[in-house]
Amino acid sequence: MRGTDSNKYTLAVNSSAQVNSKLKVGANINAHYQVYNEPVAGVANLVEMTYKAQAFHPTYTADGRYADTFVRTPGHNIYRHPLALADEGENKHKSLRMLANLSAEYKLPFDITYNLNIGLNKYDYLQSRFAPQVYEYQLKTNEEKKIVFDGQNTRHTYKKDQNNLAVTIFNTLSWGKTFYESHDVKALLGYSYESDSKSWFSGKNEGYLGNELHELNAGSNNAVVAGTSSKSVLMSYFGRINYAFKDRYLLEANFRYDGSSRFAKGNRWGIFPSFSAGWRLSEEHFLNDVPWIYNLKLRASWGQLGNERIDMFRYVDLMELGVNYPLNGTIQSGAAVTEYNDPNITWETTTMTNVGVDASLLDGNLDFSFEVFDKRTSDILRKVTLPDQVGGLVGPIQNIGEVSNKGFELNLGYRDAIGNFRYEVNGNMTFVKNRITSLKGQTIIDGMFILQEGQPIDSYYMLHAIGIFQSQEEIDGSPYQTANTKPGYLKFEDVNGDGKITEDDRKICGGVIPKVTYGFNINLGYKDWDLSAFFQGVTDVYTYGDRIGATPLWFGCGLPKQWLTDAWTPERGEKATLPILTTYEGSLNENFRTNDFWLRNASYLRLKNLQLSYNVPASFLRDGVIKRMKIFANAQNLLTFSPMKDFDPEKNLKGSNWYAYPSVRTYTAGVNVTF
Amino acid sequence: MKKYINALMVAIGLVFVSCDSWLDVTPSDQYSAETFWKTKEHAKAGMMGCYNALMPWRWLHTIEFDMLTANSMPYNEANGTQAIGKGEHLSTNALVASLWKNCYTGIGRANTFINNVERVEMGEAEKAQMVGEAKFLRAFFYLNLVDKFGGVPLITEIPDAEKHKGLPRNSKEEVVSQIIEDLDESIAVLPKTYGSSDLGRATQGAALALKARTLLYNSRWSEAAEAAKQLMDEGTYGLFNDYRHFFSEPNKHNCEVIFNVETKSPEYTTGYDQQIWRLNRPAPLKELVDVYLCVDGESPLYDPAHPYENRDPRLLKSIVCIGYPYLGKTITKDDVATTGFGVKKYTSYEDDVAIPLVERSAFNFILIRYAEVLLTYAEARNEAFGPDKSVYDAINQLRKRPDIDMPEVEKGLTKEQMREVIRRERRVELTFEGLYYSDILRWRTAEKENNGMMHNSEGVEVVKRAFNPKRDYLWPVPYNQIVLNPSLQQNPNWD
Repeated sequence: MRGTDSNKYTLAVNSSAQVNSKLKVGANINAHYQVYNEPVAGVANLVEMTYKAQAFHPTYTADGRYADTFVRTPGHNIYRHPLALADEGENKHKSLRMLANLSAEYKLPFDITYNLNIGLNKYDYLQSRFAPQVYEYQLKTNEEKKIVFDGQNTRHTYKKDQNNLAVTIFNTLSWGKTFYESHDVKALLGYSYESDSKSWFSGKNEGYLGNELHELNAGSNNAVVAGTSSKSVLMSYFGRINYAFKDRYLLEANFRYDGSSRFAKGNRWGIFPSFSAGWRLSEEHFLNDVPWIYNLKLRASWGQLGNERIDMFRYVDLMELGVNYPLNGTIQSGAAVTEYNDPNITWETTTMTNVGVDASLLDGNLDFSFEVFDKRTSDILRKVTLPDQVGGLVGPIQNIGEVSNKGFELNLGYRDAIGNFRYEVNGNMTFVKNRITSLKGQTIIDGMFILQEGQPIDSYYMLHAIGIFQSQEEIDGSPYQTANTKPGYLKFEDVNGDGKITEDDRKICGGVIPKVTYGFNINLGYKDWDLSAFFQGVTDVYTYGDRIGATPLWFGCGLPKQWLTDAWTPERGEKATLPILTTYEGSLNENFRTNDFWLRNASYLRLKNLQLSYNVPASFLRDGVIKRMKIFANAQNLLTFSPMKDFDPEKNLKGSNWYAYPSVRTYTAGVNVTF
Repeated sequence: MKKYINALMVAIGLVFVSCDSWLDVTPSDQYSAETFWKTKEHAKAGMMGCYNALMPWRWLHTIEFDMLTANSMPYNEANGTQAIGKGEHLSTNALVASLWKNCYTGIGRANTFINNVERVEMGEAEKAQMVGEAKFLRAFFYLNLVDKFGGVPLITEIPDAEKHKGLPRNSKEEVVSQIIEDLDESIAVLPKTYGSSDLGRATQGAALALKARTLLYNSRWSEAAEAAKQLMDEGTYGLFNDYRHFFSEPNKHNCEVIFNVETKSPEYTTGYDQQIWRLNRPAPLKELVDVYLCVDGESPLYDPAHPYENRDPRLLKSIVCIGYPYLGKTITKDDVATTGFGVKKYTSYEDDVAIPLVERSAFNFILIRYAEVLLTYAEARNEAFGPDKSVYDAINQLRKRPDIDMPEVEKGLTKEQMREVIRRERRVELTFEGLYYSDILRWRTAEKENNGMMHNSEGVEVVKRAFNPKRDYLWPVPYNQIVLNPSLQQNPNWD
């Protein structure tokens, strides 16, 4: 997209050393430096304004200045010139992330090994934004108007500096011994400490003489500063015991005792045990002679894990500062409670039970794995909405209920070779049924989504469209909608049978959790050539399309092509697949009232990756400096099959507009050289 | 051997040392409910947090409401405003929901302040004064609610989800009685004026004026007249001598301003110039322009060839008309595309000076001014006792503002005739300030005035308004609130 670019530099260093017979140390350092540029008012804004621009909107005047339109349309009083939005000003993001991992392993007596792992994740970020003062000139009168960068108002520079440091200290004592050549026992005890410290500050200045200088010092008034810091801590005690009998019967038991700073004292700690057992049938005597069984294992497990990833400090009532008020031109410091917090919140627990079989058959050519699982997440942490009469406060995060995800997963793979020709096919499929098992008797409606016991989480809850009114008689003979309803308008289902269409007629119309997620890859090879293709897909997901690009004639904007050929007219009648064309405002309470006609099926099958590569044969390299060389050509997101045609089906499903950077088709070519 | 075991124990001990207190992390940029409410600074900050809740009244709950009447219209469906004017609004309307929410935000902040400030160590008199300010604000927010919705849940405690989320609506009388009680308590403790560093805080006059407004809206005529008279007799406020510029930035806190929403560039600015002029929103309708009298004081007989000549000066001082100067040029149809009229109030522009378009300004939006008090007094006194001399004096003061100089009201009017005069004067004087919508609801004139086609400057129909008298005198309780709290009963004839 014009106005965006990105450069990334990576450094990786890896080393390890055996200091003496007991001590081994290692260090791993990774650094990424990335610089990316985006439009001053953001990518979503540029996408929206590009959709909003009409065919008659001008680009440049005859002498090269930005042009403004002389056609004033309702809803379109200010022309946000997309070229100016993309090209003018600056919005640069620089980030440096350094990951350092230091490890040490020390052999203690009694076969105990001590392992220490210290991880540092340092992140430094600087944003420099300059919103310029640029003008557009009306083509007929030459009237000058300032181009609007939404959210950026007057010419200014904004700089934000952010520093995060995450430290992880992970240490374990492990012990292992084999008894009588058959009983293999291992034990592990450990403790980890993670802290994540974040801080940022920003400065903004206005009063620039021109668009050339962008430093804060070059501005002269209305300086604004902001900044804060925060820290979160996670501590864990954990342990594991493994027992294996002749590599045939396998048992493992784990426990975790985790404490988080995101909850109040008394609710901080959670215990999460897990157990698993496995039986390698292929090691049994009675299966030893079966030639086509290479590996066959049955396994079962039950375990719990905790989640605490919510905003910080949601357990204590806080007075937010900066809720200021000016008195006679001087800002007075103000404070107010803006969020309601629940001190009882605690860990969200996910309990996973699964039973599966893994097999490797036919000398390892055929891989097969099948698993049935039941994943139950209880005490789900989620924001609850309070009625406004409770001080208009943002609702608390609470442990609201339990969700179950039940299903199975199937993996299948086959590989073989015929002479110089190699082939491999792998597929996997996961089928999940998501259901809210308990919401403590409540039903939560969150915008166009509903959380209801017995239904999948975040199901769409809206009016159901059952057709298009073909005539006034049909309107008169159907449940009452609005006074404005005319032939060609959408007809809604009267779910509660009360003779009129109201918000009480909403029902569940699909969801955002796929029923089936699948993927497969095909790898082919002939001598030094390799071709690999990876496909991925999901089924039964929906997304709502709204606003510019999805809704026709939204506040003075254009419309997608199918409205010209498929919209209802008296002549097209029953053949029409879209209702009669109106502006968004014209049928705000009818066609464009939130309803499932505008839900798109966002299932897709996508060729995510296709790569053709050639390994330069050793004979050609002739023992030179280059040990190995591979030339490749790669395409990502090459093909997409989906019922949703008007935008990228891999978008954020819960978002309802098209103002986002879509997945892109990428072509790469390169060379891998090993010296 | 023992040495090894000892070393091992120490090693294991070191590995596992930790404290639960390491998980005690407090926020570094906010106070908690325990650490706050200790000092005078905390109390003042809590007070300012209450005033901060007034910010939506810079536009959304004032100027925006003018577009629901025959005074003006918006050019699109944004916000749900046009739908209410056309009588097409549903209980899911955005403007309706935002008023409910913004009022309860203010009420919640005032309640948090009033109930917590007792803990603060500071002078009792100053504390009582601050409580008076908070009660004034609470009364203001409840009046906004009760005027549009009727009875609403009446809450005076610190917001508590368990206790308050299921409360049903109280009756209108109960809420009004709480408003009057809060205002009476404020009147007893608020000062008459403030020093310049505290301008913007509620005065005793503001509480008196709000009390008069509340009583007027509830047809308690003699009480309303009494409260208004008490304020008029104080002599703290008067009419500003420049009607064209009473709202301008240089004239902030002039003698007519009783209570306003404070602004300051660049943190709390207003985009009035952008909205009102560049977007022509609100766009005045011919129905309003026709109401202005001619300079001879008669009913609006004018020269149709020059309709804006010889009219009440407030017409050209409030409204931009085609063929007249504004922004240093003669206005054409393209400048005021929606209805052929524009609004001058609350803009930075002058008639004879051309300046580039202003993006952000800092006008203090005036919520209560002295002119309203005079009109309230006149209307209440007329209803209670008929058109006596004090009623004439009040209206004539408005007519005789130096840059208006309209003739005085004709003598010998009956109560009904004076009522019409007062209503017209109120509409003309306070146009575009957000109060007229409340007036057409309480006078029950909305069903006649806001029903039918509205016209632009050329007499062409621009929008069809509709008003259902069985339903539209009250706003629907927002649908999403009833879903969250099923004990809220909906207003009659709303689904």
